[in-house]
Amino acid sequence: MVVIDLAVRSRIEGSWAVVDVEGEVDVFTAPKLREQIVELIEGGAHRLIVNLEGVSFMDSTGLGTLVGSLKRIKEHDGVLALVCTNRSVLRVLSITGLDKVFPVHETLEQALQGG
Amino acid sequence: MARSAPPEARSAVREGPARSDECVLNIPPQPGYVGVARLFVTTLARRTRCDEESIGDLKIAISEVCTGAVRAHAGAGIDAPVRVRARSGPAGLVVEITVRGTSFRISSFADGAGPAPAGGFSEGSLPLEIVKGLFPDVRIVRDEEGSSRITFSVPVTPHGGG
Repeated sequence: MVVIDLAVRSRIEGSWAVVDVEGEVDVFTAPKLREQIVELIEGGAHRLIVNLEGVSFMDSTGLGTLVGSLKRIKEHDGVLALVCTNRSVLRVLSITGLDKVFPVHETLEQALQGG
Repeated sequence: MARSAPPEARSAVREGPARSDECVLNIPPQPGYVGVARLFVTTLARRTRCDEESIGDLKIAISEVCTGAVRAHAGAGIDAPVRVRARSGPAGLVVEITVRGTSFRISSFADGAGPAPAGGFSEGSLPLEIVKGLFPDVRIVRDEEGSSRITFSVPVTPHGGG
């Protein structure tokens, strides 16, 4: 079986839960990201920043995970923001129109200051 | 990034009448091999001297199509591999993905066509719209056996480097 690396770690920064993602997010690895985010939300983290700065690739399966996470957190009146400057990931967000759905920040600092 | 793959996924196997500038990869219809298809095609694109921006787009497109293909095979109980064929030439790289059987529905591949409406969204993917946005020349045809072939091309940069 092919091994594709995806590292997902979470931490608390002030009132935010930050999920740091590293690697490629696709049909094979997206469940790992989804699992971590669901665990955080169900555990009471309703202000979430997904840091995609370490993501080298994401396709629509990964986007679907983010969309599902956004829907879940909105059920708790929560907020989900992204940090991303990767051209390829931004391109997919733009083509799908999801760059208008998620707050997308260039740095974690900017995201932490966001509503 | 650590990757390991069984021999049948690692080798670029020439099938039948494949030309000398053509490589073919057959991947098992499993999610873990979609990344192998990305690696295969992007490596060939670099050898063909496609520019990095186009290669980035290619990586996305391949992933979208192969994900749909793997799902179609799995959904139909088809064990046969998904075939990824890439042919390089002076103008660039032509990529063709063959999905066996009739379960690959173009309509469902295009399900949710169009960008997500503001304030509304779908958890479903938008693979065809993404591929069309990246490679407007993408073509999807059914052959006489009912298999689907998805084809698109990646141009080479005028000065041959990226």
